[in-house]
Amino acid sequence: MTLLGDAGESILREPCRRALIDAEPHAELTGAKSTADAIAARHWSMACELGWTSILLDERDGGIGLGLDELVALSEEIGAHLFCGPWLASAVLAPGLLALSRSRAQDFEWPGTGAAISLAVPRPLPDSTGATRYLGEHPDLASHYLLIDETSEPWGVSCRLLAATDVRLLSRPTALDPTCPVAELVPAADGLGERIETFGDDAARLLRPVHLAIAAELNGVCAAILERAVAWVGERKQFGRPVGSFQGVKHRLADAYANFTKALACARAAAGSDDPYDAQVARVIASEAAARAGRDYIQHLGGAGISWEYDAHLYLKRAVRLNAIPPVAGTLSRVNTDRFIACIDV
Amino acid sequence: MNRQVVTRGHIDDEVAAIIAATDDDVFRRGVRDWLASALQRLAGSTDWRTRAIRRDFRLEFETYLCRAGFSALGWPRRYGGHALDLARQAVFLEEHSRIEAPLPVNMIGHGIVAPTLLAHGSEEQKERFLPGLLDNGTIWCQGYSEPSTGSDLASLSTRATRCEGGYRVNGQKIWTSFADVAHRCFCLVRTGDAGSRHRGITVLLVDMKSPGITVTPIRQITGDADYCAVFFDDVFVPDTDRLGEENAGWSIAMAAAGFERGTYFIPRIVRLRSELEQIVRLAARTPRGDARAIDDPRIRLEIGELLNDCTALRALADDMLRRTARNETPGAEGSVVKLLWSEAHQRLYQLGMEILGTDAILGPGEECAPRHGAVQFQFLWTRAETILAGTSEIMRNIIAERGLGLPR
Ligand SMILES: Cc1cc2nc3c(=O)[nH]c(=O)nc-3n(C[C@H](O)[C@H](O)[C@H](O)COP(=O)(O)OP(=O)(O)OC[C@H]3O[C@@H](n4cnc5c(N)ncnc54)[C@H](O)[C@@H]3O)c2cc1C
Repeated sequence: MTLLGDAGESILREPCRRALIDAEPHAELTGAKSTADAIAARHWSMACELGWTSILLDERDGGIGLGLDELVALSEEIGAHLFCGPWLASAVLAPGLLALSRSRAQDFEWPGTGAAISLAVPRPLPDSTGATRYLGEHPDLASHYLLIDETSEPWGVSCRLLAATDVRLLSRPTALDPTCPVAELVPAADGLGERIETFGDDAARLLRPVHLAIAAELNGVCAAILERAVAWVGERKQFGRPVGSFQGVKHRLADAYANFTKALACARAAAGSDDPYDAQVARVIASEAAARAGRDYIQHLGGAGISWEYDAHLYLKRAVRLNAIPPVAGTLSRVNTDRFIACIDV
Repeated sequence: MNRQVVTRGHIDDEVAAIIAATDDDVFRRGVRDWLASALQRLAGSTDWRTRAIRRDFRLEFETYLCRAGFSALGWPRRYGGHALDLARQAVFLEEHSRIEAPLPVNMIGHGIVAPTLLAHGSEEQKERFLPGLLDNGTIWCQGYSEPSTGSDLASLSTRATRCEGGYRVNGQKIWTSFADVAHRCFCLVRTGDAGSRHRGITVLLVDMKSPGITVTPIRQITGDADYCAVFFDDVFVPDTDRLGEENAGWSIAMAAAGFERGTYFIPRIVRLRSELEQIVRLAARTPRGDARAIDDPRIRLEIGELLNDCTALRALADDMLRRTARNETPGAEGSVVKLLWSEAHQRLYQLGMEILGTDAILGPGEECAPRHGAVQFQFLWTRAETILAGTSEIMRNIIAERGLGLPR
């Protein structure tokens, strides 16, 4: 069963899916030792080789300039097969920043298509000196970090691109998601990197592919969860019947499937919609669907769901990580609501 | 093969021009203006919104629309339809919902019987029954449920026995919506032996004026009596009123259910957004202490969730429409749409009741209540939507078993 459907509408889906299936990291990750850094290195060179990091880039920047439909298809597969690597900042956000900075004649030193640009998000509390500490993904791989900062208004984006040599790694904390190692870091000095800030509709346009990619990756995660959960509950027998024939199990899965179907349609439609805000809705819907399916997956597996040896936890953890990337679903939903209410003539 | 089977009578010139518009915006504006003036004309000096939930007004408006030419938008031309594409049909629905036009009464006829006839009817039956749908002269009801048969439809026992030229029908249907105004009933009967389940069911298109039929309206939770008990006492139904082969009714009923859960709910999903806007307006006008209900964070949160659902369900509905256009029978996706929409619709009016505060104790349709008691009415009515056309539990069974392939 492939809940993401067959190639049909996308030229990238089929080849990407095949490559990702060959590279699936499940066995390594659920083995005795976690080896995410090695997996990520492998995945990343595959992604660069196959051109996945340049799908949104203009041809003049060495990209292949494909549209959001392809971004969505590829992101779905990336989620479904647990691709490891700094995909989001490198392939999605950075190209957007490049285009934005060009349109404003602002400096943005584009590191080229081979760069591994890692997302670095601020921790909620500053350190004892009041400085912001960031959590950057894939420190072993990163050639650059894209540092995201809070903005005064929720409709804003503020970030800086720093070379890996321009940040100081403070520690290598354990990461919740075994597919994505993290480091705690700060800029090596003040004033490094050009700050790019944007608000309102411009920010919504900039973030549109980011939200779409996250939504689609979550939908891929959700599809994989459903496929695996269904296979499990169809096999596992208790009281002389497959546990999947019990309505308590069945109805939870039916709800998960209904939410998944909705999320999938929503993200795919948002890729072609005129309204950049639809991508935010797609992300909110996908975030809820995947997180819930991920929690339920553990429940459907019973004791095995709690065991590191089975892969259920990998999907839940990835959903949690994707859902923590700011602006988070709660913020998006709130701000969207404010905007909707403000537009209605009462 | 391409001969004109059904010819539509004269339609309103303005409507003909709107339908023929090549420009999307011209089409949209045409529909919008036409609907507004039609509602004005029919409602006279009163506000149509105060009457929008009343059955007589719903029927009057629906028939007016059909006779002017706004019916059979998507049917093929040779059956008298306009053969409009899906985008155009969606625009019509959007404008119909934006202006809060009353919902049709003959939903079974237009939403279920028409597509089923087009797919399974004989040419003679299409010729005989489609004109009554074009001009809304024939109101249809759906005779499935019986006192002992609800979710387990294959257990139905209303019996049709063979006789000269047709069948004699005996038994009882229940919860039959609009049976008291209907001219025809899309009726499932038992033609196989008692234990034959889905293998022994036949579809009859029963003339409701046939001798031996008694219809008794049943009062509903809203106080209205929109559904009925229908008694069959040796009712004669001619062979020409059988749809499909004898004992082949189950697959027709399943296809009809597919249309029902798919296309039938699409107008309602399109409506969801304007309904939510109404609830927001209500919240903005309702005081809460020193502030307004709309400032309450809990209420805003729920508005946000419903807003997301509106967008997502619309994407799902569009997807569904595209599949229908490609002639794919909606499968488990139809059940997904039905389940999600009916539950979101319930939450919308639960929220509405919360916003009403103490006014929530006023009755449905009460003139002195905000929005003429529409919120109370809908709060009660939406309870039915997770039951009719297959309960939410049955939808989940279908989704799990047919969508995901889980064991029965
Ligand atoms: C307003 C309204 C209009 C209607 N109009 C029509 C009409 O025009 N024509 C017509 O034929 N019928 C009509 N119906 C009837 C409707 O189709 C039935 O009510 C519906 O199919 C459920 O059947 P039931 O009422 O017998 O409930 P039951 O089948 O007795 O169900 C009772 C409860 O048990 C649950 N249940 C039953 N089976 C299962 C199962 N296998 N797994 C889990 N839970 C289960 C149900 O979900 C429900 O909660 C209408 C109903 C309403 C409310």
